[in-house]
Amino acid sequence: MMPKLRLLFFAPALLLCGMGTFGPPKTAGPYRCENGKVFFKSEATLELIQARSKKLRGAIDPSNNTFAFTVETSSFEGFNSPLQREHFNENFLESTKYPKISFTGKIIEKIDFQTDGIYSVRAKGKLVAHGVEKERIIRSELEVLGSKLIVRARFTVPLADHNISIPHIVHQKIAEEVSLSIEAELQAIGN
Amino acid sequence: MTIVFQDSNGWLWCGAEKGLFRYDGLSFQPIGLADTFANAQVTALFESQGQIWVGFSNGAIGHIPISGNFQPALTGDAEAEKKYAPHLVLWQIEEGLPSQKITAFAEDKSGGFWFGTYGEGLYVWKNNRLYQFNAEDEGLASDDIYALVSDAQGRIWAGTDAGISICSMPEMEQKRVQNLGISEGLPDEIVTTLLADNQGIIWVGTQEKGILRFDATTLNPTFQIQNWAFGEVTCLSVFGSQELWVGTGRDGLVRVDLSSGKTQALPEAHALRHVKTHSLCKDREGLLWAVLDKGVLYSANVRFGFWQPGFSNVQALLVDHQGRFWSGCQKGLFLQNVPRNAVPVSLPRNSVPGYTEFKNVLPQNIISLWESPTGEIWAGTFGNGVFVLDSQGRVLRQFSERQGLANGSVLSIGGDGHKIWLATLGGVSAISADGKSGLQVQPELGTSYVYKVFTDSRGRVWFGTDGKGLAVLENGSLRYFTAANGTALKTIYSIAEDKIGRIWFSTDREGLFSFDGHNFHQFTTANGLHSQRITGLAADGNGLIVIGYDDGFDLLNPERVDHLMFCDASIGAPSVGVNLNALCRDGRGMSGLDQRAV
Repeated sequence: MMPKLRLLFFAPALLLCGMGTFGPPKTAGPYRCENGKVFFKSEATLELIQARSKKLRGAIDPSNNTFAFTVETSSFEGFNSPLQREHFNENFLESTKYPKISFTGKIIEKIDFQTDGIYSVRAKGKLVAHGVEKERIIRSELEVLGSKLIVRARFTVPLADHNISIPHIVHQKIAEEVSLSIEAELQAIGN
Repeated sequence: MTIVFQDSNGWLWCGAEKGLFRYDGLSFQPIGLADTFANAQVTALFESQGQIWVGFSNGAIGHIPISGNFQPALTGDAEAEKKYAPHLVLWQIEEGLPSQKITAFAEDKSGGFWFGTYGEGLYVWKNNRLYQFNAEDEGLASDDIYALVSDAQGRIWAGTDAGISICSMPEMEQKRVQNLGISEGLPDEIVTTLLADNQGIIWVGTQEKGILRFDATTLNPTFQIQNWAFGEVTCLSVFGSQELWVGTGRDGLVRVDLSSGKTQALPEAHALRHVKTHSLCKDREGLLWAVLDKGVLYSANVRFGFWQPGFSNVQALLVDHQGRFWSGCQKGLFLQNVPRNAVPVSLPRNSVPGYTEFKNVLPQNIISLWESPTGEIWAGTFGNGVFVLDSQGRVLRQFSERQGLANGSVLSIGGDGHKIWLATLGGVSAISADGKSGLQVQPELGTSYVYKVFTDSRGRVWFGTDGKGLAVLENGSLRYFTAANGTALKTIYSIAEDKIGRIWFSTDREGLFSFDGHNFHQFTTANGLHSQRITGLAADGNGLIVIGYDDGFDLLNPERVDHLMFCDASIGAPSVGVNLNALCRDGRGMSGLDQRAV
């Protein structure tokens, strides 16, 4: 089991580095993106916090159904105020200490990447945020469009799952569970 | 129909290729299905937290409360039924549901809700999060799951295409998997069904090699049927520690006697002998429900089973304190000479002869039997008085008219540690238990028939007389009951006592009565009795009053006297008459019939 697990994480890492291509010649992909979008939303009693990043990097390898996505926490912008962004990075996500959020794993469903269409899939993997790894299954929509893949997903993250504590004084301003949305357009490598 | 399941309220839920129904014993209530479910087959049913959970062939999962407000069943108006039918609700979770067939559900002790799929492995829902176990990531034996059960330790056993995976997740994300395969004792890697009984045993059904059981603690196989000849096992149902019913892929239902390992299918000529069994369900009243053949639902009453000892016309039956059967018939007194735990029950009618051995220990026409508190067997004959035998069937002494017995034909025997009463065709004789006082006729009980002598749990001795009603001897004084609630009591045939000390007796014409010490209650055909021609009466080991007739039995729950269940040949009970003394009680309730024991 262990060698497989290592491969699982290793392959997407290589993809992210843009090294080489994988799979048989006639297989679609692999695909990658450098500028996917991530939307962050915290809907607390007294305050709605929204932010976004356009620096989601990701890769999907159809030959083994693996994927890897990562975003730098400091790349989020669009907060209600500069102070809010500062709190977000320094107090909650501790961006200096934990600079990235990542999600790596496998797509459960077998998808025909050769055929255009919209597929409902579930991605099973490890979500790492604030230095804490959690196993997650995230329902996603995957659109095959020629040499492109468009990935859309929306999921929630309980802050407690990742040891992100909310100071009592601001607990009405930050939700205990935040929602994240992803939209990324991946291009087949070599196309 | 594909699957049947009973919920904790007693309703039967029936899944079909197209549809879901709740069966209340009389009719089927259709459950409304949204489009998500409409074109999918029901493949798994389970109850958890007051909901019925329904798995479908397309991976969808729905749920519906078991205590929902159900409208009357099928009215004939399709539109109205559709409009008012209770609806299954799609289980919607953030992670989404599988896209492969849901094959089974299970629940562990820590609140984990598990479901298996054919193709995606296993999922567990815990603390509002869904986790997956599969072959590649967690080392599951296979991603094709056929069955799930939970064991006493809270682990989940998954039967797969490649053996058994024992899974748990005691803490969040701490996934544990242990696989059992050929090297661990599985005879066949394809495990098609699993069943956990209440003794910590996991029963395993396989594709080709029949069944075996695993001790869930030691993980050792402890029992296996040798030379299994019935192909794929599709489902299992266990009855006590003696009996297992096996649904098969091509040979209908097979019964397994667990004490001997013998298997028995339906008779070759039976219409259901060579069909597929899709699903089995033992309900809380002991009925076995089976989805057979082309999805037809059958029920079988496995409370009743036949036991063919090789002699006929059983006139008296006794289970002694060692659990051995003594059977009296015209050809003699037969004593079972094999251990009690080898007694097979619940054989289908017209099945092959039983294999229990008996020996004839007394070639007399035996019509009554009684065991004394010291373990002596008293055997009443027709014409030759009474014989007293030791536990091995050796005659110790005989009492006949020559020794002062009122009549040589002894209809019933009863007594306590001090005195024994012998009811004869010519009145009642009594003798002290130590034999010192000799036989004495009891003239106060008349000189006519006394059909029954019965000693109750309080030491009272009851007499069922012919013409003088019910009599009771208490603290040395005899009292007659010649009327009950205005109904004259004349001839009393049988007497029994229920668990709370009420006395039950049958009459020749007036049906059945109960007596709580103060009041009588009468049962007739008007309040549910099958017939007023009662041929035998006993309290069974489950606390039910068994009422015998020529064509079957009524089972009466003394705590719910409005609930009478008639059992005849159509549901597996015998339709042959019970002789007066051929209904007796053991731990499970047994009776003797005129042709064979049941």
